[in-house]
Amino acid sequence: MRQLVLNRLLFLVPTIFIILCVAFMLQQAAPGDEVLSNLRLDGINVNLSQSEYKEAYQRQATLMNRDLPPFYWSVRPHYFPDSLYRIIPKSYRQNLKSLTLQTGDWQRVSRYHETLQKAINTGAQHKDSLGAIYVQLLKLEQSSDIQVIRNIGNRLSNRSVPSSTGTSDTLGQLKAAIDELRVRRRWSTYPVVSWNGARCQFHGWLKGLASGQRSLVDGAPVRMKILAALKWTLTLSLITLIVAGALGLAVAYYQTKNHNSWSDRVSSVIFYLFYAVPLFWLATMAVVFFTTDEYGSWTNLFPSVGLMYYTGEQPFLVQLIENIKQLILPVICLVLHSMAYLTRQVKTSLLQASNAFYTLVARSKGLNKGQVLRRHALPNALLPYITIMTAALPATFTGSLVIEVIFNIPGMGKLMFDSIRNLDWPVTFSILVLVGVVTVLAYLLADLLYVVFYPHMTKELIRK
Amino acid sequence: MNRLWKVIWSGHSSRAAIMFILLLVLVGLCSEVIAPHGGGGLIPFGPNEISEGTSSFLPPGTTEASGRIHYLGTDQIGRDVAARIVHGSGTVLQIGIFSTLISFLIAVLLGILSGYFGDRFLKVNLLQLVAAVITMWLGWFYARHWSLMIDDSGVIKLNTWRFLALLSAAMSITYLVTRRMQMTSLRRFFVPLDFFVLKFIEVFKAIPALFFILAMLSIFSRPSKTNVIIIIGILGWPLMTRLLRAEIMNIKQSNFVKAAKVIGLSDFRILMAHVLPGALSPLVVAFAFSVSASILVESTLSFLNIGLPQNEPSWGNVLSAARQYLAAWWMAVVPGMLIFVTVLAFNAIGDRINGTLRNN
Repeated sequence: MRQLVLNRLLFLVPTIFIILCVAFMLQQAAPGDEVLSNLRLDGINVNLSQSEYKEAYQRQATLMNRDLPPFYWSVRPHYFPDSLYRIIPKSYRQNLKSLTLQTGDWQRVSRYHETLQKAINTGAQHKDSLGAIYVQLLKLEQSSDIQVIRNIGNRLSNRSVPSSTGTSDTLGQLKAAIDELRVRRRWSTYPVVSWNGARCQFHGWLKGLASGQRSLVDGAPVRMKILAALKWTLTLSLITLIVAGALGLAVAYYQTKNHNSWSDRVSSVIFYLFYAVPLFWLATMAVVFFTTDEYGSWTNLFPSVGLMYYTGEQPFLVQLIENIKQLILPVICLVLHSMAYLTRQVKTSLLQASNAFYTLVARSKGLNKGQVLRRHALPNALLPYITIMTAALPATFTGSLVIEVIFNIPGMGKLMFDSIRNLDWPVTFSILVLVGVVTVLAYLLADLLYVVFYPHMTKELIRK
Repeated sequence: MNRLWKVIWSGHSSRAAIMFILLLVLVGLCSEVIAPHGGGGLIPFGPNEISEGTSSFLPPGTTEASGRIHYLGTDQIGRDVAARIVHGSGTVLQIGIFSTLISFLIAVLLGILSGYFGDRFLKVNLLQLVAAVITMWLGWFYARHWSLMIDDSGVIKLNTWRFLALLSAAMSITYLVTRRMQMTSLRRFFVPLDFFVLKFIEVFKAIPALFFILAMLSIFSRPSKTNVIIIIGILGWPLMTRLLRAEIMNIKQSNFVKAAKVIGLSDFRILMAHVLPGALSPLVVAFAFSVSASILVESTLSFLNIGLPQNEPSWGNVLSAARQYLAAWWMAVVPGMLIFVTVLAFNAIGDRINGTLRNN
């Protein structure tokens, strides 16, 4: 037992670390600019000039660790610089990266980068007299196609620059730097590894997960948002889990006791059908037929969907009691759906156990059918029950997206759905990490339960 | 295969199921004849054709001014539901079968790795391990560097096929390099392949399915039929791998595999000629259940309006609009019933084979 727990805990750490890495990598690849969203939250894009805005962007990006390398170590081809990550914003960095890859020469690209930044800075002071040239300079920042950059460079030199501004020198340098850019892919290279230590984005991201981030949509703390949603989801799914678990076991027991009787056959077929019914269809049909007067008033059994009294300000218990009627139909749908699978599995396992020799022995010593099932078959047939119930635990945290969308319940599924649609990545990936950790813990719980109920499995489990 | 067919055909429900699926295939193949995009077939409307006038949410059997009948009514923007359902049947089968094929491929590879070879196959010494890690790491680096492409607008893109080809080349090189390093003086230990595969499954299962789909769809691609197929396919492999692993482990214990080993057949030959054919029936069971699961996932996605685009008719697409207008029962009942029956059909086939397997 202790050996198993130690063994599992030992592998818990790397598993959770891998989940964290996956979440971080996905968040890096996600579309949208989080720095920009954060600026917008602070109301910074309104009345700022180009340079002021750039400065604000830089500040925000530094605050969010965007000027740090992504991971503890980084690998790069030898002709790439080791400090490319410092260049902000990301799109401009990508352009420089592409240019370096195309020319195979960071020296020239960096000269181009420096003169371009200088030209833009001086150009910003003489914006009015430069006019179209300044716009062209900004366009250079957006481009990574050498042909396009060349064309703009040629246009720069053709234009007569007012000499009084003193920018003609800088523009000349820029033109020279552009002319030096030549397409020459470097295929031969070797990898260079640099160690970044704890000063990296991943480390900061981990700290952020612990100390709290804010949502990109409304600036609310992620933790509050998740907690508010978790209340509803946990209520709904715990009720479902308990009801379905108890009912499923009872029905399976009843079916096995009266195996091949009329009631067993009918109920088996019904559960077989419910197993194949798509949950969203079941819920939609329930809403279509049982919440409106369209098909006769006798079918209008349940209130319309949606939590009527949901304001988020009253204590949760008050809200729950006021909305209890709204939760009946979703709970029924969820219970029917999850019971179907559970009942089938437990029944199969119970039937197997009731055909075993030890049941025959128990019968022959004079126990009746129910006693045999309860005392001998049931304890041996609980394996699939434990597996299914523990596997359902992570789902109690994610909730059922379909049910929450159809019945308009502000739970975790809906929160996840909405935050992915709004590109609200801090919320999304916090949920992912939470659910990932819960899943791993549920596996641990399942193993522990196996060992408690079936001690002979311990050795096998340790080896697994 | 012949025996399997007999088993399926001899059951009442599975025979009905096979016939229903064949009917679906037929309708899917002939959808362009039954309801052509231009209109004027057996069903007089195209799947994306918007009828004129106020034509949204017409109940079934409504006759238009032009004399054409909406057999199953119209949807929220006035498209014919019957035509969309006919075209949806092809989509549903394609998604179910092709995504299952993808997860099948991954599952067969990983299942063989963990079930047949397992923890006690690959034996290496420390030198070989270090060499393998270094060569694979270098291989990864060069494969990536050499398959980075610049597209017309100067954006860096990874050429996936080239990357995979280079990566497999790197694997071969790793094999060639490490093969020569079997020093007798160094202690050799087993590489727990089975353990790695199981851990991989565990980590993958820790990501909730719907989250995975949503994130993939929003991060990497626009929803199209191919992308939905690939994503659902990637989602399904862990379950199949576990099943296949258990099955292969069972067969590996059998005497005919031991005999094949004794007479000196190669692992590849044993796998192809003895192990995989022996696992055929459970494979077909897994296939049937996986197809029904994929169909369910697809219809759920389309129902949430995140799966297939609207111009790609599918049953889930039609169903999703029923939520907006509760009186339109025909949009909820008909496609839902079809999804239900299709899932039931694939389950019935799976259960039939499963049942006969258990009885034998």
